[in-house]
Amino acid sequence: MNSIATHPHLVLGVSATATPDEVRSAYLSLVRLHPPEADGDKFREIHTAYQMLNDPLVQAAAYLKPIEPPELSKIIANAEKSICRLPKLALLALGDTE
Amino acid sequence: MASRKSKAKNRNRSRPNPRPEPQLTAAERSIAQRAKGSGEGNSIEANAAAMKPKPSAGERVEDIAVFSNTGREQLSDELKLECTAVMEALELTYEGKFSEASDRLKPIARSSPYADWRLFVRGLNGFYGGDFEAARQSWQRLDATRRPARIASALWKAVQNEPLGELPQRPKRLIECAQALLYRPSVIAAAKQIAAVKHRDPDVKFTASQVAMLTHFRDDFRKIDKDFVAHFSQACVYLSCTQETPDSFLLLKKSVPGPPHDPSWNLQQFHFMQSFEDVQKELRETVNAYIASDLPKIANMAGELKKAVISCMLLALARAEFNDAQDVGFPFSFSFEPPDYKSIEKQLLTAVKAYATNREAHDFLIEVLEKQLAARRITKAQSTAIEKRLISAKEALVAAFPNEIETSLFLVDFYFDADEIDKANKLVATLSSLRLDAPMAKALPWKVKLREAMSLSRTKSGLPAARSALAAAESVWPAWLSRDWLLFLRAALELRLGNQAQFESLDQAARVACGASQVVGDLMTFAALQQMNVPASALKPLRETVSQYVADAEKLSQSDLIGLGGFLWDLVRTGLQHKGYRLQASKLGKALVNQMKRGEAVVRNEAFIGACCWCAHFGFWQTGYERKSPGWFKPIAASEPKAAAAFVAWINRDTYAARQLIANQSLIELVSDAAKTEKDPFYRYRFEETALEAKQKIAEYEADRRTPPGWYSVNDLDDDDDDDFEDDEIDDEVCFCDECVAKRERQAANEARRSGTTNAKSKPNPLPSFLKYDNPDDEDGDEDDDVVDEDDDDLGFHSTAESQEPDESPQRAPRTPEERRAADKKRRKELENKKKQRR
Repeated sequence: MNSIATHPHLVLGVSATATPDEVRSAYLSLVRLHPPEADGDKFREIHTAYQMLNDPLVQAAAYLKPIEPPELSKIIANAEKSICRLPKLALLALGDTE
Repeated sequence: MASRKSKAKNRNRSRPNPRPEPQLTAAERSIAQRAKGSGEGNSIEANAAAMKPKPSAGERVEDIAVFSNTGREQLSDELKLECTAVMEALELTYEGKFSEASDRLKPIARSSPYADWRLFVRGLNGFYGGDFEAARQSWQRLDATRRPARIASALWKAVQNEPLGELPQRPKRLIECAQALLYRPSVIAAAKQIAAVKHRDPDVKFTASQVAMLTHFRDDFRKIDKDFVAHFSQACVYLSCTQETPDSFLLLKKSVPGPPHDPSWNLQQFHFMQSFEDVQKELRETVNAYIASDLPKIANMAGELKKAVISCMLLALARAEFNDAQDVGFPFSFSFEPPDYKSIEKQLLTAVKAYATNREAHDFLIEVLEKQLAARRITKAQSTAIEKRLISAKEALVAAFPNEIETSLFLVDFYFDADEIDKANKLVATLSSLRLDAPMAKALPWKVKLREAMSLSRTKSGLPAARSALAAAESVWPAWLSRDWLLFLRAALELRLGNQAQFESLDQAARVACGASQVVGDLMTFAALQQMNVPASALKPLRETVSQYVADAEKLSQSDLIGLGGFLWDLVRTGLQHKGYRLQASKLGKALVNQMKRGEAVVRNEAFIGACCWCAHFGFWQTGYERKSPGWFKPIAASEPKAAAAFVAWINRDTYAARQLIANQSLIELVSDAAKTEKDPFYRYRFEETALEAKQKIAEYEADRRTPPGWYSVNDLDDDDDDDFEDDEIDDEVCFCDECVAKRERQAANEARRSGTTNAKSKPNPLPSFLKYDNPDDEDGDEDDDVVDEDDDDLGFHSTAESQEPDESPQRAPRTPEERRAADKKRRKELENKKKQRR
């Protein structure tokens, strides 16, 4: 059972759909900020949250959470800001001289 | 080589404008025509994506080999390997796997003819990743006479957004192609068009015409920008699940591949279908399809996680089936239809089997079985079968969670009742080895001996041993428990042994020792005789007397009722209720509550506090669905932590406890503070546990409120119907051409039909074949259909205290979407009541 203060995702600052790598990365960076010898309580809190997120049941609950529908306009706006990768042959054809 | 300063200057210049001037207007026009089915759709991107490289005159064979088999045949074996690595790296870069692409090229030496390609791919990775400076640094070292440099140049110029007028026709054309492929204006324009479709009905999010547009969009552009097309299409599928009709989703599900975790959209369909009714079969099929075919295909998931997912999904399915049956007709009628318990049990048993430590699945299975057991119309045979399954469920829970003290204690009692002493002793040994802090766990040796004495007293051969077992229990009697009843138990055992005179003298001494009145003494004796298995013939006179007390409970004096309450509280908290307890408790409890209402002065002794705890533990005063304390109890709870703890524990057991707990936060603090100073270990432990559980429930509720409103958010209910009415009143700019007028009439007719459907049922049906627009119950077409009839109370709208049995089953705060949805409905009921009161 999690309260706001001890909610594992909130403690580690990751989203509910974060991958195990993202969770580990967030955990390591927080441990660097709050090492056990400097801030024992905070470290315990972070470590507990990490252990909870490694619990398959917690992961499964996050996995099965309904996904909020993303806004189409935001997806389009993001696409407009980025560039698209070119298919291999089309990319190679850019080097043609004739 | 450029100087440092000039490099810096170049760097500033080279930062590309992410938005060159795309020829959007023409492209948009083209897409618009395409969406209307004109058949014209050959955008510049489509043409550019179809380009194929051609060898140039005098081009190096190593460069030709990257795209031509002819060139590759002329290479040495070593170069062939390097050429293959370059080809693979280019594919990987296109897939977005940049680090894998770089790794593939590591074996290429600097002196190799393919070193330029290695540099090019490194720059390309930076370019696609938005690090244009890294791309520039890699690409400026390329041999300008070779193909990699020419490709890099075209790409670079494509993102510069500079006029191309002075360039020769061929390079200009190539740069335009690169621009088209990099910025895909037609793709963006087409996506914008799909997203920009306006709906007059705010509940409609994605229509069938948009589905058709999306199909064209995918056909035209998935080869140009497959990532964006996939992402956008998936977003459309999610959007289609936010509306009340399933048609768009069912169409999209077939044509749009799902995300990696849900390749066939079965998981999404499961979530979506839960908002419809009469879909148990479809829900089961969807879950089975996901578990049987989708989950095994997900490669990057650990085996344990897969098991946990299966378990959680089956639990969610069981909850959905259970809630669906509870929701029938709500809030317009209350035709209760029992859930398909057989199916629900099956799902939960599989869930528990798939992942043994899924606590929620265990709890829900026990809850479902207890609900079946509490149903009024079940036969003795059915009841026995359910009890058997309940015991199995509790055994599974204890096997998965050995620390589960309450269930373990229940099982110990059950094993003793069922004469399964070996099982009881085994469980007691396990619990003892865990060295649990709970006082009841520490008192297990006492309870085991006491239960042993009770068990042995069943048979004549066991009677001598029963006496020594009772003596052993006496030697380890818990310090926190009154010894008053021990004397009655001794007397009862004497009667069981046939020593009538001994019984009478001991019983009399016991009554004197604890100062019990005639009524209280009779009940204590009766309970002891039942526990010591005194034959029915010997018990009969006292049974009749006690039954008479219960029947005339309202006539008993306040002090008698308090004495009875204090004694029964001891039985409840130690789990030693006698067989007749269930028949007596409710009436005696309510009589005590009625006495207390009269406000007569009372002495706050141990018995009185125990009686208050007993009343609060079961909420004998409850008349509505909310758990509130009556006026007479408030000052007692405010000053007596034991009573406060019993009251808070009673609220904790309510499914929707959080808001009631928030209203009683001062009591929670009182209990929490008392835990630090209380000397009685039983109450100290109880205070700690109760306050902790209450605080956790409040914190979870607050956390839920903080999350943004989702599909099932409680906050959604705050939108009053009046808001919709105001929306309807907003006048848009209206066109009065014949076509628009006809269109509006069609829409109005559709809306009228749909509103008929939503009034008739609380939830729409997902399958087209089930869509019903006629409401047989709504013949008058009354606009006030959503108003709850004032007679609803008489139809069982509120559960009344008279209809309730003492409830000890632990209940949780709503956590999952299904539970929140149920909470929403409860809250809607509250709103209806408030409206009614206002009227």
